[in-house]
Parts: sequence; C-alpha cells; structure tokens
Amino acid sequence: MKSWLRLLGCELRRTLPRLLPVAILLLLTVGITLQALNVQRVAHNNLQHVRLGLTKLTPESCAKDAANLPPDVPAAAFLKDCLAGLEGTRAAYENIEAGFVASAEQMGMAQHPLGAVGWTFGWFATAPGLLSVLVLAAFFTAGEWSRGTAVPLLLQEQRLWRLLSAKAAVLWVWSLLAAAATSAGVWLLAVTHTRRAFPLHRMAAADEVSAYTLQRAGTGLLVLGVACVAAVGLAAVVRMPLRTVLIGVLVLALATLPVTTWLPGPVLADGMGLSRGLNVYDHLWTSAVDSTAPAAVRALPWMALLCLALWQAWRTRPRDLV
Amino acid sequence: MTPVLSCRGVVKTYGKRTVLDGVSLSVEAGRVTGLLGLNGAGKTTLMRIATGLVAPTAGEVHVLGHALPMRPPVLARVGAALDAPAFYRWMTGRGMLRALLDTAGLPDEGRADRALERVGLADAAGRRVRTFSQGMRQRLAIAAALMKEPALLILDEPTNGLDPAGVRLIRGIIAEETARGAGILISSHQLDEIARLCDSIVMISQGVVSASGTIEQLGLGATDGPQDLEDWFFAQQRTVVHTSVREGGAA
Repeated sequence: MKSWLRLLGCELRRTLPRLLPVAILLLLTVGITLQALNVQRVAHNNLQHVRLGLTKLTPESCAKDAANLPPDVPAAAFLKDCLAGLEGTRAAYENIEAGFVASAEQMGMAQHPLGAVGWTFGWFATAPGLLSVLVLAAFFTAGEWSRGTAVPLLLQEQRLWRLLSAKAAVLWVWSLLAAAATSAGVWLLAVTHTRRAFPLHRMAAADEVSAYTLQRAGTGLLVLGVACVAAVGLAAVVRMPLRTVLIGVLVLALATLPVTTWLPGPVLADGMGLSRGLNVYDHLWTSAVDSTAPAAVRALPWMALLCLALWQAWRTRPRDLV
Repeated sequence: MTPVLSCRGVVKTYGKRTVLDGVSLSVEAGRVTGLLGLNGAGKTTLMRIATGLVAPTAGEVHVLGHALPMRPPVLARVGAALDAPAFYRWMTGRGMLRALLDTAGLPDEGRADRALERVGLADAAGRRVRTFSQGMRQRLAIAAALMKEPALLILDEPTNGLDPAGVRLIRGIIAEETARGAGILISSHQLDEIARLCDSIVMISQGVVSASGTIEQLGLGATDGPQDLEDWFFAQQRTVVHTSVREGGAA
C-alpha cells in the first residue's frame, strides 16, 4: 500500500505542471460556472414572462385589445372570441408555468451552498466530465506509449496494474478537485449575483437539498471513479491517444442510445436523478427512460462486465509491456 | 560463475513473423558481452525481453538467477538504456531521474546527482529535458540505468549521438561497472568500439545466433583469420546469406 501511495504521489507530481489537465479542468470549471449563470437567468426570465402573461389574461385585457383593433376588424366578434378562449389560454399558461417552476426549483439548487455541489456533479458525471476524463486518460496513459515514456517508467516498475491504478486514482482526484472548485464557483456566483438578480421561486428546504446532493454527488463520485478506471484501461489497451478518444466517444454514444433502459446511459441518468427535459439546464446527458428496475440493479451487469474484463486482462496478460 | 543474464532457446514471434528463433546467450558478472547484427536482426527485441518489457513466445530467460517476469527486488538491480530514449520533456534532468527512482521505490540519497555527474550532465541537471540535445538525452538514459547500481546493465547502442568525448566517457563507465562486478550486455554498430570493450561477442542474424565466442575464440588478427571485427562481421554475414540461399534453393 505504501509503495502504491508513492506511485500515486509520483503520478500527481508528473501531471501537476502540465498545461493540458490544467487547461481542460479550468475550461470545465469556468464553462460550468458560466452555464450556472446562464441557466439561472433563463429559468428566472421564463418564469417572469409566463407570469406576466398570466396577469394579462383577464376580461379587461380582452376589452382593451378589442378597443385597439384596426377599424376594419369587427371588435365585438373579437371580444366574444377572446372571452370564450380566456379560460383555455389561462390553463395552457398555467401548465407552462408549472413546468417552469419545476425547472426553477432545480436551478434554485445551484443557489444553495450544498445544492451547488449536487448541481455541479450533474455536469461532471455526464458528457462534459466524462469526455474530459477520456481526453486526460488518453494523453496521460496512451500518451506514455505513443511518446515512448512508458519505456523508462516500465524499466522501474513492471507491475502494470499498480501504475495504471495510480493513474486512474490521480485522474479521479483531479476530477474531484475540479468539481470542488466548480461547486465553490457556482455557490460564490449565487451569493454575489444570481440569488439577487435571478430569484428562483423559493429556496428549497434543507432535507430536499440534502437528498438532491446526496444522490447526485454520491452517484457522481462513483460514476467518475468507474469512468477513470475504464478510460485508463481503454488507453492502456489502445496505446494511441487519438484512437483512445475516438473509441471512447463511440462507447459513450452507444451507451446513451435510447433503446433500452438497461444501457449504461439510462442507468446513469436514473442513478443520478437527472431531470428529464432539463438536459442543458443542469446536466448534459440523454434523458432517463422509464424503467421498473432500480438503477442500481441495472448497473450490476455493467459493473460485472467491467470487473470481468479487468480480471481477464490481469489473468492472461497477453501483451508485451511496450 | 552464475550468469547475471541467461537466455535459452528464446523465441519471439509477432503474428506470423519470427523475430527471434531459439536464441541462447549468457552474460556473466564482471564481463561485457557484445550483441552484433544488422538492423532488424532482433537485437533490440532480445534486449527488451531481457529487461522484461517484452514477453518471449517461448524459451527461458533468467535474470540474476530468477525467471521472468521480474519481481521488484530483481528489477531494482537491472539498469537499461534502450534505443531512442524518451523522457518527460517538461522535467529537469535531475527531476526525471528522481521520478524514476520514486517509481522504482528506491531512495534518492544522492543517486541521481551521482549518476548525472558520471555521465557528464552535472551542469545540466537543472535544465529541462526538452532543451537537451540527442546526445544529452542518451547520457540521461545511461544515467538512469546507472543510478540503480545494477548487477546487470543492458545498453542498446549507448554511443548513438554521442561526441568523441561522450564515447570515451561511456567507455570509462563500462570499465568501472565491470570492475564493480556488473555484467553488461551491449549492442552497437560501432564494431571497433565493441572489439575494444567486449569480452565476448554474440552475433545475431535473422533472429538466430549465427556465431558467438570470446574475442580470442573468434581468432581476430590470426594469420588465417579475419584481421579485425569488421572483417569477421562481414564474413559472418556472407556465411548467413549463403546458408539462407542454399536452404531457400533446397526448399
């Protein structure tokens, strides 16, 4: 364990001064924080507009509109139609308002110190975060082989599993550090600006926020961990950065096909509790699909498959180290 | 004497291509064994097998008396500088060696600086590897091999890219290492260098050992023998080509 921790330290020091992880994770942090600003503004404006519209749906507004019609439009007929359709239009507006309120409640989580963590994991454990993990794994693992730096490394330590597990752990640590920085940024933004500029419906109760964050951050930690192991494993098998990224993107695309709830994409969406229809508001993933089986049960075959692949690779060790 | 490296009947195939076909050799402590052969003969593959980087398809390889794969205590006593050395370009020379020591689980205790001093890189220890010339990277690779104070030292074309001063330096290091008791396996295309450094020679042609023996056994300089290693080398090549042609014709 001590020697593995030393490898972990080595890997951290090796990746620390590199521009690529810093740039990618900074981009992710800044991008997600700006997205928090953007979606809170949109959610707030949507709610404002629909409520403004509702206040105008009155008999008086019908009469006012009828009075302002051009002379060639029959005002009496217009007024009659307007009054007759008033209830239907109001019901439609109220329906839209209910949807916007639901969105606003989700976006409101980003205005809470704990909720900001859960909101952030919606991004880190879906497409933006998973793609970043893939690119970093390709650069730092497959790149070792393509650049030839794997040779001096493997001349010192030939237990590949230890090297790769250290790489996966470092990648996970980097992702979590970036997620922590983003959460802090989102919350700081709320405190300094968005809570005041874009008040969203109501502040969620503490137990609501806790449950939301526990589900998102808890599952997100696991999803990122599995993603780091899978991405480093893929990079070590492929050993070419660009090819690793292309295969990884293909796998992600296949995983999210909306054909069955048992694919990893819908499992992730359900496990994270991602809101359907809000996939550019608080995550970037395909919407969940209805399923009677719990996400944890549906995740089991994929976890078993991943473990089996890792076990098989470890047991047979069919390839040369370089 | 127990050899520090022993290969018996080593075969390596990549798909249908056989790169090594039953190669046997041994390297003894305190002795230098030279590996000769044309490009593509299989020298680098053999060296990669000896360092545990490549698994043999068949045959036995023992390093310091232990069969492959190498366990950490064995690996800690094997130093190697293989062809086209690559390092983390953003690290300094000293930082690179320390990172490798860290990976190996060995304490620095001045090893990195001593190794850099030995290969003449003490002044450049704080410079980033990206600013190193090819020769400096070669020296750094040799420093990385030396810092473990190895019992087996494997050097694949160590004088590649080195100036005459560098070549002389490496010659001195090899003498020091053999005096310390290390067994050395070295490959080079500089035949006069091999003749000067090695106690025995193994010639590989098309994946098989075509000739081997001590410098005395090769009969260099004898009245009816080859005058130098270059003559011997090409005489061996002609033999191999003729044999191949005959075997091809018979087939």
